[in-house]
Amino acid sequence: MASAQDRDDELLGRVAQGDPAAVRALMARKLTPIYGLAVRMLGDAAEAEDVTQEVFLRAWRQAPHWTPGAARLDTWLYRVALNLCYDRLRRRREVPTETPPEQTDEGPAPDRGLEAADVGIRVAAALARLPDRQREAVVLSHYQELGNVEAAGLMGVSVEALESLLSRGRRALRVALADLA
Amino acid sequence: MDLNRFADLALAYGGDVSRWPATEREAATLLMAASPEATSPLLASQSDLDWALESWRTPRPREALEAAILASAPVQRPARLWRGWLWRTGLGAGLAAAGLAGVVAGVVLSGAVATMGELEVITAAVSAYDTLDLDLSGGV
Repeated sequence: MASAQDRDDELLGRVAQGDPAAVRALMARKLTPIYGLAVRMLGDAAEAEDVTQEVFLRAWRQAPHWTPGAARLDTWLYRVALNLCYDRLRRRREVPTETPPEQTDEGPAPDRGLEAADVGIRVAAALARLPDRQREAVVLSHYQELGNVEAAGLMGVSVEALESLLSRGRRALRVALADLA
Repeated sequence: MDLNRFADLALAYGGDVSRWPATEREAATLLMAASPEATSPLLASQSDLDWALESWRTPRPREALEAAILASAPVQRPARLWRGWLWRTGLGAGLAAAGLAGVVAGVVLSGAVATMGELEVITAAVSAYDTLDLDLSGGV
């Protein structure tokens, strides 16, 4: 039975030939994870769409040059997506904007129910306030469900450093969401 | 695995041991069986945060995004498709053979009777034929 990597390599080979079915199949497999990663790193759906589109554009360009078995496509896609997210995060710091981030932490209110959507908004805001590397560790490990070795590799740190980032990130989130968690 | 390491893992990866690194799970399970009173509170202290994190669901990508990505994907070149259809139907082979026969006949005749001006015309015709880019090997 072909591994996920073999299937990705095979699909990308067909993408390079201009096979529209392979394009659709690859997009069906990768679009949601890449978009989810970008949304959670940036906290902004419109920017996440731009990043996702650029990731796929680069994947299409890379397809003819892809060497099957040399690297995991997921790892390559995540690396490109993270680089693009960091470019945007850097630009935000360099160019202060007048408009506030899309998701703001409204904090607990006396009559605030614990609807999942409300909690989600609070979590998004708390995550957005984490230092970038802590947020990246939480997103890769918890949301993208990457193994510790793969997540650490993507971040260019040791597994021990990844665990330290995760611990500090989760501790900060527990403080920010103390009334929930 | 001792309790300190168990606590570190719970803090880093959360209260669900199935999400911990595969290399740590067996030792963690043994410790949980041996010391449930010490390990259970450590896991429980993280499960509320796990629940909160799970509450943040990202929206589905918009159809417009999917359409934009599809539009940017590589496409098969129409010329190649047309050429493939020609070869599959046999028309391509017929056209190529007819064209080649005409050129060969022209070259043979020109060698016998053509003036210099006519030779230039024939040479131009051969060049024009070359630009038809027909694949005589039958490739698609």
